[in-house]
Amino acid sequence: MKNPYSLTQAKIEKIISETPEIKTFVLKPKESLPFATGQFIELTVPGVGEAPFTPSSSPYEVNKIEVTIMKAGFVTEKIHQMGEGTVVGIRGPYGKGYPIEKFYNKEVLIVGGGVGLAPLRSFLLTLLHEVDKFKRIILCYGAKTPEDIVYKQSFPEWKKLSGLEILRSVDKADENWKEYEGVVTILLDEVKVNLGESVTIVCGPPIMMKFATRKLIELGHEPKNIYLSMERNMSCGIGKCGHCALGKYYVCKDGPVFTYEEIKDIPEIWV
Amino acid sequence: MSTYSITKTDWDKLLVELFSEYDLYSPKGVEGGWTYQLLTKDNIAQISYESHKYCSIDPLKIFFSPVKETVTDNKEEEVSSKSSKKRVIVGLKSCDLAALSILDRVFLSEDFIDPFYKEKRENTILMSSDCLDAKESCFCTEVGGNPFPEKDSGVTYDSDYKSSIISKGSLFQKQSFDLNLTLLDNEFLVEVGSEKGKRLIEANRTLFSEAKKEAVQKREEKREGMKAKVRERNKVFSSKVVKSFQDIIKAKDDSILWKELSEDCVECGACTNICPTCHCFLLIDSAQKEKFFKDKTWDSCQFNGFARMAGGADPSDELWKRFRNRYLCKYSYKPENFGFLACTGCGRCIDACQGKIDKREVLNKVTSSQ
Ligand SMILES: Cc1cc2nc3c(=O)[nH]c(=O)nc-3n(C[C@H](O)[C@H](O)[C@H](O)COP(=O)(O)OP(=O)(O)OC[C@H]3O[C@@H](n4cnc5c(N)ncnc54)[C@H](O)[C@@H]3O)c2cc1C
Ligand code: SF4
Ligand code: SF4
Ligand code: FES
Repeated sequence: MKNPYSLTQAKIEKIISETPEIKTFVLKPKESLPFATGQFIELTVPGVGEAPFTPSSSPYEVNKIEVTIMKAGFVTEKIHQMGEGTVVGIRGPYGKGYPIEKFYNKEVLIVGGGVGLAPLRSFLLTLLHEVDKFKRIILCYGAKTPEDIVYKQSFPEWKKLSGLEILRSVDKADENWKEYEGVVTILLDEVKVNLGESVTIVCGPPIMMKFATRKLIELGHEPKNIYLSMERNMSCGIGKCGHCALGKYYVCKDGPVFTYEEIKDIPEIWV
Repeated sequence: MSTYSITKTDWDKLLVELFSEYDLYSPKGVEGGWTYQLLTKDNIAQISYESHKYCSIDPLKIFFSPVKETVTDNKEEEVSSKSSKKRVIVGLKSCDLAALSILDRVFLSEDFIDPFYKEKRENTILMSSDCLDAKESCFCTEVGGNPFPEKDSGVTYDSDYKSSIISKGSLFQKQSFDLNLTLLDNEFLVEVGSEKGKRLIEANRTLFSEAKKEAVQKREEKREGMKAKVRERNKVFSSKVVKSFQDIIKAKDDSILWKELSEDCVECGACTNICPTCHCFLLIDSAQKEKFFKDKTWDSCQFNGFARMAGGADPSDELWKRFRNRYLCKYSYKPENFGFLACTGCGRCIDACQGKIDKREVLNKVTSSQ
């Protein structure tokens, strides 16, 4: 029987520095770990600790997995100290992915903040893989400053794609910034989507998710069409340890993606 | 399945037989109750069925989800669940069996089976027994159970014992024992509850005789008596309270009330550690020389930091929220997810509480606060 706690070794092939606090790690697992976009993995620094991350690469790339990690505490600090060639342990994938088929023939609005773009990049790459299936794809992304934007190299390419519209904002612009200035929710006033025919996918820090959701509801989006990536403390990732409880749900098993409809009545959802 | 009779002497013989293949455990008297002990051949005859009247102090989960257990050593050649010696546990109670149905749903859920739990579960024979008395804190009858095991009971209760959430019958957990014993004077009535139990009897068929009608009749009388006793003890607190708790807790988020109710809680975690259905744990990584380990270690939702995320955000940052969580989990979330309560009414958390909090009073206060 498969031991769900055991690890697959994965070598860090390449490290891309995204911002002073965020790095992307390109992992080559010993055995491939097929995942659906939106599912997450647990990454172990041997002997030190473990933390959940959502792959930021396309699920169609089977031989490597990229994770984009923000330095946020004990384990992530240790990960940031590691160099290329280091071996870590991974297990997964866990949780439910995005229900991509449900989004066919719809306008898909993607709203991301900060490192929250990590899972959304994987999602975006998945949509782009069959771009004709979607009516429109719009990406709204916000970061603190232009320096804090992740995937700086990818944006110029993405901007050239015909099926994809991109709007970006920064809280605090510098002299070279020519796009929007302000919190990411201001972008939602700019995009006009067909409400009955659209879904919105949101991922970012809790405060951003809260205000983005509020704004979307104000604009008339239905709770069942808003998909939120929920963060909770996690340990096992497989619905047994109880750490990730969100009301009656376990985020690791029933999520991490929920519609706002499913969770709107739970107290403390935004912390 | 069938019911048999066996004399006390023959029963001891049977247990001695089992020593070659199994480790035998039974509750043994200590100050304030009983705890499970590994038996030796010599003290078989000393298992005191008469004095071990109700559930032990330690919960049955210690046999299946131990306090700390290494689940991986991060090596390619995996430590799969090391095959442990087969075990027989004698003398567990109805509420202990009920608790296993919660643990089974968690650790044996089809998506990810915990091989460590599964292996221990499969390698263990459960010989339960009827309660001969009840603690002041026992309230199995108020959560749909009984002080005697019933095979796959899921006892249907008062006809109004239906919640808006659960439509299909009882909220009580399913029980499955291999054999169940009822002590009657100098003999046992043995009820067979599983294939494992059946095989055990068949292999030693000469020791058993068919149970007589009168004996079964006597058992029923005893059982009814015990049931009445537990119900009598819980007159102020009734099954209705548990039922309405679910609806009331959903309807409101009363922080003032919960702050008051949790005033005496000292956050020791005794209630979750001692609870037979609490399953929360933490995986702890460690290193020893060249080796790396992951240990599955009991944890508690009552501890500050249990749900803390990077950056400090914490949905259960205040004591009253953590305190409330234990009630929500057992009487609302688990019933919604599993279809039955995650409290068996064993009363252990009441006895263990350092702040002398009686959860029946808490439930009473919440439901009468309307
Ligand atoms: C499904 C999911 C996907 C995610 N994807 C990504 C991603 O793609 N990229 C990304 O950057 N992040 C992601 N995160 C967030 C990421 O998992 C966290 O940033 C990471 O776990 C932080 O770990 P840490 O040890 O560095 O932080 P810390 O703050 O040191 O540790 C947090 C953990 O340690 C414990 N802890 C630490 N200090 C204390 C204390 N004082 N008291 C009690 N407990 C304490 C907490 O219990 C908690 O488990 C994701 C999270 C989830 C749930
Ligand atoms: S709660 Fe019921 S089954 Fe459990 S020990 Fe008490 S009387 Fe027996
Ligand atoms: S909550 Fe208390 S009474 Fe209920 S099963 Fe757990 S320890 Fe027993
Ligand atoms: S992380 Fe263990 S139950 Fe979700």
